[in-house]
Amino acid sequence: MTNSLSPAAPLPSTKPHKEERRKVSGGKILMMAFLILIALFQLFPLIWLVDYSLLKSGEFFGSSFLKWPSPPEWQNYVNAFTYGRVPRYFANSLIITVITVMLSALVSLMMGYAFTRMKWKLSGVVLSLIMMGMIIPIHATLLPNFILFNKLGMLNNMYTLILPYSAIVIPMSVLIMTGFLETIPRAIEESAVIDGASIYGVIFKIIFPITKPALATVCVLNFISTWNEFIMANTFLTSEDLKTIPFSIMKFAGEYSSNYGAQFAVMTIIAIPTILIYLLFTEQMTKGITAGAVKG
Amino acid sequence: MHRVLSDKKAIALLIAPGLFLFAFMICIPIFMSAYYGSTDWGGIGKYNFIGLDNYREILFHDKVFWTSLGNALLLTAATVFLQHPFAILLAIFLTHSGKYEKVFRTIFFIPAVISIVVTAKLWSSIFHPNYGLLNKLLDGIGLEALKHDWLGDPNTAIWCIIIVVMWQGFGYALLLYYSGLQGIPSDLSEAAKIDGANNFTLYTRIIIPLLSPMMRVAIIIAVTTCLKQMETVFLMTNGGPANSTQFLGNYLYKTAFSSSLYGYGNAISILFIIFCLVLTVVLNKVLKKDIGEF
Amino acid sequence: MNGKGIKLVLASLMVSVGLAGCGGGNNAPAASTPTDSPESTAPATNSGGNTPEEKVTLKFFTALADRANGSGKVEQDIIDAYMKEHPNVKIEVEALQDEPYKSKIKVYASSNQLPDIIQAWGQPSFLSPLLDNDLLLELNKSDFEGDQFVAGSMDGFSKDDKLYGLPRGADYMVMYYNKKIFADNGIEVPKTTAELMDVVKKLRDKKINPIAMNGMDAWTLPIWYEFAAQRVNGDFNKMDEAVARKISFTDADLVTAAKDMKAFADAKAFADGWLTADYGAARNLFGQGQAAMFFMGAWESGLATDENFSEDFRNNVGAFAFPASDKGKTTDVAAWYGGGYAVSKNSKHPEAAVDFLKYFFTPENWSKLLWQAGAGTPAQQFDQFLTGSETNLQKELIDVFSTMTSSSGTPLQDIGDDEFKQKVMEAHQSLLSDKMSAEDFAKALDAASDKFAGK
Repeated sequence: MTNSLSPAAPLPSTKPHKEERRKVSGGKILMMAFLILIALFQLFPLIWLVDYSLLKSGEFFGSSFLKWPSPPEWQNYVNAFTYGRVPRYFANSLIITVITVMLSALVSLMMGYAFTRMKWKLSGVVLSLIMMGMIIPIHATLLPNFILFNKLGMLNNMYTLILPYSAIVIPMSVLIMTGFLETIPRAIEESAVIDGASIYGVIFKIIFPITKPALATVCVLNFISTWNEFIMANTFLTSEDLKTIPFSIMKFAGEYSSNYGAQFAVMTIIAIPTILIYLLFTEQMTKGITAGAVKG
Repeated sequence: MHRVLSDKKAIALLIAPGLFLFAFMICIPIFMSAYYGSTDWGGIGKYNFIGLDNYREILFHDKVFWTSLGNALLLTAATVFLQHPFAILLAIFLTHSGKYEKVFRTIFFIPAVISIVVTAKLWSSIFHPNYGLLNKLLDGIGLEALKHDWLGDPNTAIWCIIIVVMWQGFGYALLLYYSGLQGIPSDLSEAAKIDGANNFTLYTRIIIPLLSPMMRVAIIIAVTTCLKQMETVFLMTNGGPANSTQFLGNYLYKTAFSSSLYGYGNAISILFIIFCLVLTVVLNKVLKKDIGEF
Repeated sequence: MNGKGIKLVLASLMVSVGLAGCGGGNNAPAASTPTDSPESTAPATNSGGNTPEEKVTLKFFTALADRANGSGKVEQDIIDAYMKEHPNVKIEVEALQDEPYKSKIKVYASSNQLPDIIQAWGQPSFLSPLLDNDLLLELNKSDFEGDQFVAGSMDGFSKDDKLYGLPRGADYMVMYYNKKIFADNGIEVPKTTAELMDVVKKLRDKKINPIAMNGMDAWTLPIWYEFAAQRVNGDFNKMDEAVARKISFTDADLVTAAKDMKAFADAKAFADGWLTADYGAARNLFGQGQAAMFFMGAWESGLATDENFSEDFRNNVGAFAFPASDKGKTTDVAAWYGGGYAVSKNSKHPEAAVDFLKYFFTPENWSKLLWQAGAGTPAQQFDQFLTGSETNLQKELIDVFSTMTSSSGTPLQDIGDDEFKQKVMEAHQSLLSDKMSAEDFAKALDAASDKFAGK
């Protein structure tokens, strides 16, 4: 039953609406006003964040909640960049996030294919095991993972974060991939196999291009969660050279505790990449979340 | 075709990397937790096996554990009964908003992509007793009597946390229901309209029942994320005041790292995992029966 | 502990003598003491026999989180100077606020990853687990003999007559206050706890936050309780006896103290939102002129020079000793030798780490620079560094320090282990947020002490 809901083709984003033909009613105006109100409510943090990142620390305690920065305190950004080692953290975050995203995309593509197309006895069992991972609270693995890395002498390199990050996102990524793969007709693959393509040829030459939208979703979702993760980053990394950008907030909160302006500048710097990525890939996200969820 | 698709070696190669990663980073740590959970380890040095003592202590004497669990359930209930109906309503509105649909959809999701570090700071400022927007607002509309130390009062703090979590997760819920609506064939509603149904009956009688499979998914996702809640609490109240906003994730972190009770903290982890698994399985069964078939 | 308290008093007397001797002559840098070496301009060199070719990286983990102000800046300056003089040594600094620091140090300890040099507190709650597991390097007392550590200041870092760490500063709690807010509202510095209560009420009437408090971190609360208890019976030791299980926390005096403390919370003495304020938040509240007082340790003397705060504030920040009662005087102060440094036993470069500490604690470096930056009170004799150009805040702080007649020793929460500490702090939060009565509070402390004693 659930599967019938899953759209065979990616969601049409510009579906002609019946309503457009009707005249604009009072109800509709009310509805739009409501939507705009909620939109403001949801957008507020962004406005607030950018606004405050341009204020002097002293102005934070003023009586108005939003305050026109005059003149804008660009120095906050300069401080954030010069004192906080932000460029270094930013680069670390980028490297760790990109590797995690690529790794998890590759793994979920391979697993997704094996689960939906290949025939093997334990398929169902292994899939359920992986899906159980969605339920398991990652914080429960924080402590033992730390001990594990320590015993293996693996603390203090980037893999300390890349491996758990990639592992955590596997369940959701596989879910999305399998959901998407099941909507794809098998005819193309079959003819390719008849033409003598190997299984790897099928996956990387045929399936990969077709599943690009779902892969994009997986990547965007994983990018956002990996970029923003901070509890593990805060616990696992010990070397200053490896720290990631959410950590810089913790660092800033301590080391520049009275410089609110710079703290907000750092927060803005953290927020921008995820928002950009999201805006660029909004459609893929929507489709992907749906494809995965409907199936699950 | 069949032979290619049951090539054992290929299957192993495709599955192994992911499975290995998963086992190594998630399964093994859980077994380790179970192991340490039966010790009195303090984080460094020697430890003794104390069997199930930790579990007994948690289940029968640890009030904070139960408060944490209660808070998680409260958050879950609030999400399902407040956030979701609202998300459905908005999803319906969205489908009627014409050319601005995409703009709204994008904006509604933005809080979900912003780091929790940022949103937690934002909301802490909103709830701040002196400078917070909320108290200023109350002042402005003459409801000075309602002004409050929102996060400092155990009775209101938990609701503040709930509001923040619901606000941030709203985009996900909305997106799920929105795409659920998109999946409903449009000829259904057209047929209903021809039969003379107005918008209200159309939605209550036809569309919303059709959304129920999506509801099941959304609810299960909500339950698992609510139970796992940690970051917002960690940053906004750290479980305080006096553990009234404690959640299991934060509690086990605090137990292990602030009280140096690693063994005990690991035992909490194990109970936490068991609880999440049981609840999800039960929920899955119950929901399937209730709304799965139609 | 009692011994330590008494010795601290001796030390403070010595300082007061130094102050008196210096009081008249103003701006001249006091450079001459018998033991002092003539070189006084550049940070003194005290390096051991390191071969310059060997590249050494030392990890340095500190809880002086703010690297741009106050004692954190002084610490950083010395590190930078050291690295300049020793190009082969690279010191990587990691800095976090107290509570995150203490969590993270456990992470390091449990994984045998302790950084080479760590900040340590000369208190059982911090030191015992590290010592029990043999993680700290024994230091050679004679290496630091010339550094004029105040007698008794090393006791907290010693075990079985062996030295494992060095104290950085003398810590004592005071009440910082904003003189302008006081003056504008016609408020005098309170001399007694009853007067303090009046001040609180007056400020509340004028809609001003009375006392900024970091109630989320919560470790300042038991220190307030120490004061309260001392003011009830004139003795700091009763609390220690209770933890040692000689008496119960349900002792009438201690319960009265809890009630006294609660009375302040009930009168809204603590700034709005105090239960969710961490150190930085509380400090900012005060620094931005949004609270009239700030209950904190003397290490915050940098408040008077922190450029993040307005000049108006910097000129108006002062400090007074916790007010007296009929039993306890203002000269009875919660004070202890707290923060300092220790070296990891697993350090790959123990000589280099020790060499750095020797450099660091050369009187010309830490104690002079710290004092002259107005950023704290060193645990070494520093009378020769008094310049007469100290900030008013510094003078007021040193007044409190030099007139001290008895001190609390290790704060209540730090006497036991971590679990004890958490329970004690949570009990305080519950009591002060009105979730617990003074009687239940006493029972909670008894339970925590029992559990600790049973270990």
